[in-house]
Amino acid sequence: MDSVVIKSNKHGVSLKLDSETPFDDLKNRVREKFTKNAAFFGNADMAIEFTGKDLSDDEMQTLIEVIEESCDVNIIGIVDNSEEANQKFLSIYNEALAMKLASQPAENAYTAENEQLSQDAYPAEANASLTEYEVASEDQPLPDSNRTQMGMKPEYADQIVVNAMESTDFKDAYFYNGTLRSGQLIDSRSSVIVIGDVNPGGQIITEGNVIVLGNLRGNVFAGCSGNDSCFVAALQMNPMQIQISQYIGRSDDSEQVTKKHAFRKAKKENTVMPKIAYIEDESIIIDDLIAEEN
Amino acid sequence: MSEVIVVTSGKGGVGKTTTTANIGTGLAKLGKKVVMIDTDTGLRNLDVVLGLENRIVYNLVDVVEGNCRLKQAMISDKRCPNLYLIPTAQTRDKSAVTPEQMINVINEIRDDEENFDYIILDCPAGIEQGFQNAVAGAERALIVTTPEVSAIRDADRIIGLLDSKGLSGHEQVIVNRMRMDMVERGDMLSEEDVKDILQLDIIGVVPDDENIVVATNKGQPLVGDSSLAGQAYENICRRILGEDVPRLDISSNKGFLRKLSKLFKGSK
Repeated sequence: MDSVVIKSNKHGVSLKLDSETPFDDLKNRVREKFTKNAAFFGNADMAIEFTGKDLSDDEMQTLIEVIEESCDVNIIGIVDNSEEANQKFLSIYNEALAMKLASQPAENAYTAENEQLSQDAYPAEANASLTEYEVASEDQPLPDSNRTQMGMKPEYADQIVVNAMESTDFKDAYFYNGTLRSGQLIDSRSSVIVIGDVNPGGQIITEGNVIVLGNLRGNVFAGCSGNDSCFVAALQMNPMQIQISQYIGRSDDSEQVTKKHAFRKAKKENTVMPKIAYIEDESIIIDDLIAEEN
Repeated sequence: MSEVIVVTSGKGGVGKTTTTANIGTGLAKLGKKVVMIDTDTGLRNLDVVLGLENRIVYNLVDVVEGNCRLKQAMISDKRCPNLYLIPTAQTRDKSAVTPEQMINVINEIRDDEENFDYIILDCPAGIEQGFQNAVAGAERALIVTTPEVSAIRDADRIIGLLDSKGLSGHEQVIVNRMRMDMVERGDMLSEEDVKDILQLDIIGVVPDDENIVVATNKGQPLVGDSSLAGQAYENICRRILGEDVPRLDISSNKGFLRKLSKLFKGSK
């Protein structure tokens, strides 16, 4: 096990330090890691959190200096592990971010011309969450398990929605009417509701939740700023990929049936069976949104 | 007033040029005055498919660069007197023409005293400069696709781009190279499957027909003849004119059992 593990969270990065390793070794390892990934971090503003080992104020200060020396990031604060401090920080951070965004023209309105642009203008925090892949998440096929059959009650779906609504700071939603086609991108801070299909190659990126009133065949990235409680719901759920926070699920390879069954697959796709995708135990679960009648 | 139609697809090799040649010829045979413009600079084919290659003197690039008058670049078809082709240069590339110049050429044809009914633009594959030129002056788009996922994916992308160019609501799909026997076996996407993904009106389905290859090599569009593809193209032309044409049964001569099994599938 590595003595220093870098993870991302909604405000910046979290350093998990091995409690057994002496401080000087940790310091060197931190320097090594940040120097190696300097290009990835760029010159982002981020907050830092230390876990795994109790550090004195001086030790924290030393580590921050080491990080700032080894790459261009700007550490704007230290995150306390306690929930209370965490909440306080989050509200300050969101305010700052909202002000920053308010000074820019609205970027969530979709036009084909600004595809590239909106991708570039995306806040650094969304990119930061990519670090997680190497540590926590392998991309894994979406489980096709239907847990209603395994004794789960359908109320969980309600609970997921309630949790998601409580944890989303922006309660408004962006509506898109029509088919979201290949190459088109919706990039929004608020939750996204599509009235129509999302075709293969179409993409939705949002800090909130995604609801598709149609056939979801494309890519969706919900809770892109690291909100684990976000969900993706669709009337017909046939996505290429779903990403929620730092977890990625892709469509099952066996679903990409051979030509022989292409016709039957099309039939299956056409049956309306609303499903919801959410995170449980660090992986993406897809469940029926309504209990089957029987 | 002439209507400007662009024939496009995104993916190459799905039959844009063949479709342009057949629809242009078909509309001309139905008595309309038609100008076809090949916008695939550097890789022109429309003249070959129409069998007019040997008559090219001036081309589209000559027109926009002022080397000749518009009328000098318009080649009259050898079969239909009311059909014209403006070929493009083979020795240049797509950057030789700009969207603004394209619009100017289209406006000049529109203002012509001959009163052309249709201007049909053959669009190159891809979404780069050539595509931008071709769609610049268009009022209506025919998207050619084949029943393959790759072609449909590209068509979907193209439709998105056409929407952003203000052509939303003026787009129709032509499904080319359909093989009904494969559809019935479940090995090929059906017309309904295509419609389900693209969410657009399908103006016609053209069967995979070896007569097309023969006609293309001869330089004679087969629209209107007795072949299935020829009839399919004629139907598309009539639908472009606003006629209500019944669907062509392209799964013909398959016998009673086939029809029975089709009936069965339909009722399931």
